[in-house]
Amino acid sequence: MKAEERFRQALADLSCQLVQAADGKEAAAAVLHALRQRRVTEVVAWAEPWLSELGLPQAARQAGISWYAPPAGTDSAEVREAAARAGAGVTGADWGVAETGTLALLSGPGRPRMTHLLPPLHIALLSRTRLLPDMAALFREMAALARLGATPSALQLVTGPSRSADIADVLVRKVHGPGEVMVVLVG
Amino acid sequence: MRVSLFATCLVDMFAPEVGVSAVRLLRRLGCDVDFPSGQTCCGQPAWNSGHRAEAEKMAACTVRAFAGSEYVVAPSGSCAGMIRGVYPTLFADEPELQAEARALASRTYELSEFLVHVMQVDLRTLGARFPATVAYHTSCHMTRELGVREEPLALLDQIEGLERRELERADLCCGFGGTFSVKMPEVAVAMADDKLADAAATGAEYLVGADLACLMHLEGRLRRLGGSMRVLHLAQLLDQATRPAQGAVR
Amino acid sequence: MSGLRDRVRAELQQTAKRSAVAASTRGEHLAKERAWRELAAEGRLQALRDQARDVKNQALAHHEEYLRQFVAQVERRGGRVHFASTGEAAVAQVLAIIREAGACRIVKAKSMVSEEIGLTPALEAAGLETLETDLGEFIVQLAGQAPSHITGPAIHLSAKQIAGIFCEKLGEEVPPDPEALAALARRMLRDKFLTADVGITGANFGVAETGSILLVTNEGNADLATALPPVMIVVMGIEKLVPDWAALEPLLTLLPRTATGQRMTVYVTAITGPRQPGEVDGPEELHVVLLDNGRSRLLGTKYQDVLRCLRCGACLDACPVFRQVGGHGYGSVYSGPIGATLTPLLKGAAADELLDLCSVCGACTENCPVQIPLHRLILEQRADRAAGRPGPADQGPWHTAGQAAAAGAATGRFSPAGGAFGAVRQVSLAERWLFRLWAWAWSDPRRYRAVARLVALLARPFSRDGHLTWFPGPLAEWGRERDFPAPALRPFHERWSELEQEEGAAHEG
Repeated sequence: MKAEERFRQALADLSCQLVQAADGKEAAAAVLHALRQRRVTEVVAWAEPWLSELGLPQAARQAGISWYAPPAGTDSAEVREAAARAGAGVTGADWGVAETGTLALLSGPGRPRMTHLLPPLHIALLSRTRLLPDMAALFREMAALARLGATPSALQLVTGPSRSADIADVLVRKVHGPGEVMVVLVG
Repeated sequence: MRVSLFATCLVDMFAPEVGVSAVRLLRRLGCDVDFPSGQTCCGQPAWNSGHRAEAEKMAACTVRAFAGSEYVVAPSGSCAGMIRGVYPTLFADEPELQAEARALASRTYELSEFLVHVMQVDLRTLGARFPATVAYHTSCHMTRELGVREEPLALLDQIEGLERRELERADLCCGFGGTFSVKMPEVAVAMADDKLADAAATGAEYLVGADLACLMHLEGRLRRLGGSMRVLHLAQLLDQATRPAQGAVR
Repeated sequence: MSGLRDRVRAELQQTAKRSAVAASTRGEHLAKERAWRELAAEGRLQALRDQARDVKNQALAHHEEYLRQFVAQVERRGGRVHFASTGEAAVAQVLAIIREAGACRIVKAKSMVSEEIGLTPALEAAGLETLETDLGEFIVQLAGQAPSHITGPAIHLSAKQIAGIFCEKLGEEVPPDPEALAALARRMLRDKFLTADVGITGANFGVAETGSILLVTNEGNADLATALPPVMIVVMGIEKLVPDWAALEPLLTLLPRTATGQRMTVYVTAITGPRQPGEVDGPEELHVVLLDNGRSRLLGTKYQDVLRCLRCGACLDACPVFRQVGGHGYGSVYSGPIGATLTPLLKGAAADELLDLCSVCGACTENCPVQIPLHRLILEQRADRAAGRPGPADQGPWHTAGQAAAAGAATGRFSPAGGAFGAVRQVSLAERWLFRLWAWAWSDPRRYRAVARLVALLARPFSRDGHLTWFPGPLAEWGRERDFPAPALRPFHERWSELEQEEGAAHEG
């Protein structure tokens, strides 16, 4: 309970929404609701089996939202075009960090990096069992991956929406990356 | 308690009244004060400009001057900082002198830290009084080299009628910086202007500090700019505040 | 010296710019203070600073070994490593990589090292479209200006000025509103990311254990520059290596908090090799250009500590001189206390004047997350200068034969750098003799007292109301804008005897 509260607070400090879902069904409903609310018509998503097992692709299509989850080896230009058009990118998250509200995404086949970078909205589904208390724990995980020789080609830590204060010290969001990050905590 | 006063060259030559105040204050608090006549300058301006051989010459003179002292007290955070921070690293080729320098460093104090930590004074017991508003300027060497931050404030807060006003941006250097003040004078003056603006913003009648170099730089600029604030060394304020049966202190 | 003075005077006259710089740096400094206080309240601040210092020292102490490991790991993952002793060599290598790839559209993420070697101008001169994508860098690139701060390149410009730059250079009318301006930059650059051939970045850290490149940013531009273009080029100073992932912990805990007061920046991305089979984005080709440019000469010297620098900007934000003259006042790629310390070490005596742009207040050292004794390194260099001792950059390509042998053995790839052999460093004759005379006079009490009397007598006719307003010689600089107390006709040492009598009287009375 404590880690989740910390996580919620950290995300709130970043102006990020956290939705708690008891199971896959609730998670899917939360994602769909968020997409409808923001009138998203095109989604790009990770091609992970568990995402489709949630029934999201079908539910989205039924709601008139196109759901594009390019499998490994898809032509990169096609993925690029879709991600550039999409109103939202839906991914999993390999870890979350309660202390800072950070999401850790490991790259891999079926997980294009542009999924969470190009669209203006990033929705990440994180399993409760993968929520770590602090950054120290995350670095231990990364060190363990390194020892196994399993470091991914990209480890991307995301802590809130893209931002910059480069113009007259005024904080603005959605500079190059998404302007909104939403986390669905599942389980 | 026997205290040897290290007047410091700036006080000696440009503000002897600060030294007089320091002596009277220490005596009033019960110390025997002497003034070793061999003293000149701690050598810091030469050291900070990179002229280390020259600084060592002056340091050697200082070390010898205070050879017989029990406590050495200086009304200057930067000079005490030079002795404590740099002297122990000098005279690598002269072990005897190095040992003396290190011994001196272990006996040397800035005035306010001496009063607070060694003498453990409480000015309230002396009926100290200075009814005025005071902004205290904390000098870089004193805070960052010596680690003496709270002591002057503690002393000022023991004085009846004294209202201490906090300076905004107190961590910013006043711009003296030794030869910096003549090598980069425009920047030094710009820094002084910011500091004086912060002081004026407090509305305090007095700007007080424990390092004469800072005060000379700030007062020197204030005189050109015009302003009613008075600049006073901590030793002078404490002396005036603790004078017995005194009249008005303006 | 006059070049520096003139430049500083010019900067001091720009009041709006000074205000912007002062406000920005003060805000960042206070944000850092809040973040550090939070860590202190958790009881972790000093331990983290010590760990951060120690892991960087570890990397520097065993530099050749970690370099070897890093190279091997990068190559194992299919990346390529190139060595550059000098900036010119690095630029040449980047150009060669780009030509070999047949590329012509380049997007760049923010990288101090690329500024150091003048990469963007060189690429543009070669006819290659090279776009800075970091918002602040994008703005100063359009404006044709140098960045004015390590982490906030455009803090010296107002929103109105930026709107003017966008209008003039992009032909777009946008209100002087930061959100609208950022939205325009996003729109203009989005297409460039999608069509770029090459992405060039720096590296905040290079992890020897896995050959990973760490990029620590807020905007997402570095991530797009590494995800989309088929070719990725990293230009990295050799001092950016850290041993392993465990070492990153104190560094990544302190860096964001120190640079901007954030617990974590928005994007922390570790790139390890090109994309894996089956991935549709990430670089197909990854090149790492390792830059020396005078750094290895500092290893094993009393100046080595400066190589711990994380380029966080905290020293700039704390520096009372920087807030007055801004980054442009230094006239060098690295400004503020790190610039004043590092530039003469890398470039030699020609940059010595920067050593004078410092009041030795120590705020930089106090605020450095990895505890570099910046102001002491400036003092040390001043001492070298006064003694006529050449600094590491002016001693020739290798500081010690051992270094040369070790580097050669480790990689076989570093070639001797061209150094400014025997460049003379010195203070002016006048200054040298002034201090010699001063020391001679003031190392003996009788001479000191004689000088005090002489000075008081000489000053007497010029004294008004106990103060002097004019001085001859080097002190003239003081008198232009400040008074100085007139030397006392009776210095303290002459008043001592009456103070003794006072004491005597008090005892009798």
